Amino acid sequence: MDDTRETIRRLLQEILQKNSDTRGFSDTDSLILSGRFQSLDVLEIVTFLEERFGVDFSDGFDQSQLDSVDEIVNLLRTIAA
Amino acid sequence: MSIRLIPSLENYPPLVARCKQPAGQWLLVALFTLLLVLLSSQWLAMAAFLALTTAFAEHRRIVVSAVSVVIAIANPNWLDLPFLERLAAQEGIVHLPPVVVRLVVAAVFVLLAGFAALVFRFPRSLAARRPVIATVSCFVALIAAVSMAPFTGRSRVTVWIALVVIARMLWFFCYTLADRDSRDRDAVPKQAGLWRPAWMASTDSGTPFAKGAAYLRKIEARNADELAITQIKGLKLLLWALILKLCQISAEYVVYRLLGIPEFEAAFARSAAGQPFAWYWNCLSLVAAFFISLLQVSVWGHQIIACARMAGFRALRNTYRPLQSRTLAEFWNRFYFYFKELLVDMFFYPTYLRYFKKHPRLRMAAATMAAACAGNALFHFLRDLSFIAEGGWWRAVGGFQTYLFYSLILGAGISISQLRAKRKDDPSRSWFRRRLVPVICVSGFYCFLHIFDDSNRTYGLREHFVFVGRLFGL
Repeated sequence: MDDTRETIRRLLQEILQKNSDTRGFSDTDSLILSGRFQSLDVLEIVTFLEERFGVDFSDGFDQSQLDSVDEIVNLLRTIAA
Repeated sequence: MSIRLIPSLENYPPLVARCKQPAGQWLLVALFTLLLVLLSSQWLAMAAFLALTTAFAEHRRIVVSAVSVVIAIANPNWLDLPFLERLAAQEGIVHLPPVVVRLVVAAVFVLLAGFAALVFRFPRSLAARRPVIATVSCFVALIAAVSMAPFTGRSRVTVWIALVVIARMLWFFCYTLADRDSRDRDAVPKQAGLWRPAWMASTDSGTPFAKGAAYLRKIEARNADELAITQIKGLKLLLWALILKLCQISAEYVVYRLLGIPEFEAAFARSAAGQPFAWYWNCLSLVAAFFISLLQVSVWGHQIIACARMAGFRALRNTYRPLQSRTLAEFWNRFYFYFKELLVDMFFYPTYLRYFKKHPRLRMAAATMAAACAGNALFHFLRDLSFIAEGGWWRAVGGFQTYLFYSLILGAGISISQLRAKRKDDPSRSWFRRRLVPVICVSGFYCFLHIFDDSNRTYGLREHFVFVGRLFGL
C-alpha cells in the first residue's frame, strides 16, 4: 500500500502543478472540497484509478472518496477487500 | 503578491478568538444584517434565519432545514408569481389568495418528502439507481398530463402552482436522491429544507447553491475556530458584494448615461425592428452588457454564498475571477460554479463513467455535450413553465430554439477546448501568448455567445443572426 500511496501522491502533485498550484499538501488535506481541484481534475483521478487499478465507477462516486490521498487509498483498500 | 481591498481578517487570531465568543458571534450577525439591508429585500427573514442558526449552532442542520421550510412557505417570492397571477386572471380569479400558494408549497414539500422516503426505502428501484432520469421523466410526464388534462378554474391554477413549485425545487431534490447511498445520509425531514434553502430566499433561481445535504455535511464548520473563520469570510464576501454592486451601478451610469451606449435589449429590439443602431453602437452595447452581467452574477452569487457562510457552511464562491480564465471550461467553472457543479454532477459524471470508456476523446466530448448542451437546455426549458402553460408545448419548444442553439455552441466550444487543452504552463512561451491571448479569446467567445443567451423566447434564432450581422455593419 505504500507504493500505492506514493503513486496517488505523485498523481495529485502533478495535477496541482498543472494548475500552477505550488502549495504543498499532506495526506489528509482536502483537495476537492477545498476548491483546489476542479471537476476536470477529479476526472483525471477517476480515469487514472480506472486504468491503473481497474476501479469501476459506473454506479457513480462520492467526491469525498477522492478528496485526499488518505481517502483515495481507503477507497482502494475497500475495493480490494 | 496580490493587493487586497478587504484584508484577510480571518488570519488575525485575536479577532477569530473574539468572534468565537457569543458576543462576537452576535456582533457578526448584526453587522451582516446591516450590510444585507443595503442589498436584499429579504434581509429580515435572513436575519431571523441567522439568529436561529447562531442560537442553536449545535443543531445547525436541523435548524437550517426547518427554518428554510418555514421561510419558503411563508414567503413564496421565489416563485414566478406574475405568471401565476396571469393564470389566475385567465381562470376568472381576480386576486390569487397568498394562502393558496402557501398551502400548495407546503403540499409539495410533503409530496416530495414522501417520494424521497420511498426511494430511500427501495434502494434497488429505478428512481434510486437513476435518480435524475427518474425524477425528470416523472416531472415531464406530470407537466404533459397537466397541460393536456381538461382542468379549469381553481383546479387548473392549483396544479400549475404545484408544478411551478416543483420546477424550482427539482434540482435540489435530485441532490437528495443522489445522497441515497451515503453512509451518513440525513433523514428526509433533515433534507426537506434544502429543496429551497433559506440562503436562496431572495432569488427565484433553481440552481442549487451549496448543492445538497451530502455536500453541506462535508463543508459544515466542525468547531468554534472554523465557525468564526467561516463567518468572518461570509461577512467579507457580503462586503465585497456591496462594493461590486456600487461598481455595477457606477458602470451602468457611466456606460448608459454618460457615454450614451444603448442597452443591449434596446439595441437588439432596434435591430429586430429593422432600424438598427450603427455597428459600433451594437458592438459596444454587447460588450457593455457582457461585462455588466459578470458584475450582476457576482453580486447575486456572493450574497447567497455569504448567507450560507454566515450560517456556518464553508461554501466556495459562485463566481471567482472569471476574466482570468484561460480555457472555456475554466470560465464556466469560475463564472457560475454551482450551475456548472449541478450539470457536472447530474449529467457529466453519469455519462463519463458509463459510456465510451474505450474511446477517451469521444468519452470526454459526449460527457461535455450531455452537461453543457443537453443538461443546460433541459434545466432552462423545465425552469420556465409559463411558456408551456400559456403557449402550449409546440410554441414553448419552438421559442426555445435560440437557447438550444446557445447550449449547442457552448457544449461544442467547451468540448473542443477540452480536447485541445494543453494545461501545462509552457515557460518558453511569452507572457503575452501564455496568459493574455487565451484570456482575451475566452472572454471574446463568451461575449459573442452572450447574444444567444436568451431564455426569454421573445425573438427567434433568425433575429439573433441578424444582430450578429449588424455587428459587422451588414
